[in-house]
Amino acid sequence: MIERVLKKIFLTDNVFLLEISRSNREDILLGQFASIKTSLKDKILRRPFTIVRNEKNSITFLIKVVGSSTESIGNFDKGDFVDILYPLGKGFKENLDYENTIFVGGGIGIAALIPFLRNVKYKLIFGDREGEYEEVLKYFSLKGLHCQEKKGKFKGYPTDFLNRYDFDTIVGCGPKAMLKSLKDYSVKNDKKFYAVYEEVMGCGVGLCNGCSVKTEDGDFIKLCTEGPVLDGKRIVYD
Amino acid sequence: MTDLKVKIGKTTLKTPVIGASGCSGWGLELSKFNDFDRIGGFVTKSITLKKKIGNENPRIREVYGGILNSIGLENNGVEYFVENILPQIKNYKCAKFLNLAPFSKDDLFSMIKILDRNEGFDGYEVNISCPNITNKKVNFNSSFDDSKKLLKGVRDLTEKTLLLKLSPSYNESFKIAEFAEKEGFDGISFTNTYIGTLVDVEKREFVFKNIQAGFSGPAIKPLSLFNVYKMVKSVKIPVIGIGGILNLNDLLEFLIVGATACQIGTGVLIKPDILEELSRSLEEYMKEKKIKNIKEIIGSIKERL
Repeated sequence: MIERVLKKIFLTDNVFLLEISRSNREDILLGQFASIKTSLKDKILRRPFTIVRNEKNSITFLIKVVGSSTESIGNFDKGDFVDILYPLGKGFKENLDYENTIFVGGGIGIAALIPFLRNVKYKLIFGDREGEYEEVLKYFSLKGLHCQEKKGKFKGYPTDFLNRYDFDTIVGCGPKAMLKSLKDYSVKNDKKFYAVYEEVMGCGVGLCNGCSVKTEDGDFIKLCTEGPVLDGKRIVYD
Repeated sequence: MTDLKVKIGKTTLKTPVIGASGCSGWGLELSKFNDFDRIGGFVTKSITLKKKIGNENPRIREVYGGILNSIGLENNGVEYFVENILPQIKNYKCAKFLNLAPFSKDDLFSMIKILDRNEGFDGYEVNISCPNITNKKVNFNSSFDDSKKLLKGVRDLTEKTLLLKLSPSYNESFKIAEFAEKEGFDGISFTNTYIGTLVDVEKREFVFKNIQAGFSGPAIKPLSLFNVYKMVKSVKIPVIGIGGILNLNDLLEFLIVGATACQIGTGVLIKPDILEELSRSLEEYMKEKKIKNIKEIIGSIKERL
């Protein structure tokens, strides 16, 4: 479907917020995503992004420029047409006990956690390797432990700070290395772990099996239709 | 009345636009995006006799002009298909072809025997051209003799429409197609993806664990178009043209060089509603040009030689 850009703001040098019109009236569930066609002639596949916010007439994305595709989406201006498919993915339907849940985000992985952190009391650890997400946290009024790899008040990886909290469930999104640490921690300490997982996608709608994720039992799960929120302990992070 | 119908074997397609195997899922996913009453049909993902896990990641990478895939025939096997998927797709109003990927003659014959007891689909597309098969023994398309042995007698097993999907990466494909025609196959689906690869310069490693992957998308269109043209010259049975079709002009080119119908693969991944869109735009084009029957387009290339 075709939507229009309502707002685009660069919150940091390379992380921007993109708000577009919403003409699709289907319910949008936690964790669901959209796939956006870039404006580049040489990139044919769409790119998947978590729907960070959904309002009656708009949906919002938080995107980091990591290559030419995201750069081209960052060049969209107010009023531009956007070729987009949404909502995609199974979404997250479990009831979370927020008292006993810790959210762990790493880098732009925070985008997938934002929809979970609205209008509720939550616990959050956010790993920000280079210390570049201050404005993003402020914009979304996110409160939590903000750690950086080599400096600041909380120096280290997000997993270094897990023991400060009481919880029985982890919801994590970020680099594979972080998710793997969370899996190891969850297995060792018998915690439930939901990973909001990312993989290169072909179609995003279940046609191609390009985004299959390997599981501990030797099988594969189609991320686009079964995810993106998966049982983090089942995934093989290689 | 504008007539877009084409016939392949016993199957009449409402339009010459078919979703290609591998990119059409099991039809279930496509049904959300296309009115099946207004498209030709689709070919399922490959079915193998036993459940097949599929390849390690990465499975898909975008490159200039197309995509490389290394999916690896992931599916739950023929019995699962019959029990769980066929009941869901059998009432779809378009043509349904089941893509079969055999690892032996026994595999192929067993699958057809199991499937042929059921109704709810139009035919088979025997796939001997998966780009991710590295075991030479089961890479039938690379050997004329192996293909002959595999395909001999298949016609006796079924009265349904029989298609054969071939690779452009082996010269044998033309001889194999001629053999399939003699054996009673109803059509040739051509071309599958081109075998290619990709290198990670930083790591100095191949990106795909199998080294090779199937290359598809707009970059292959001129190559496939010529291959389809050659295939049309080689056999009298219908050729279903495949290769980088993304728009009406691409579709028309394949039809004009003689493809009876076309399959869309990568195009479906980009635009899941492309089958209905192409069918509609072809109809509009014919109306505008006052072409009453699609047969006036198929094979209408003017050759100067």
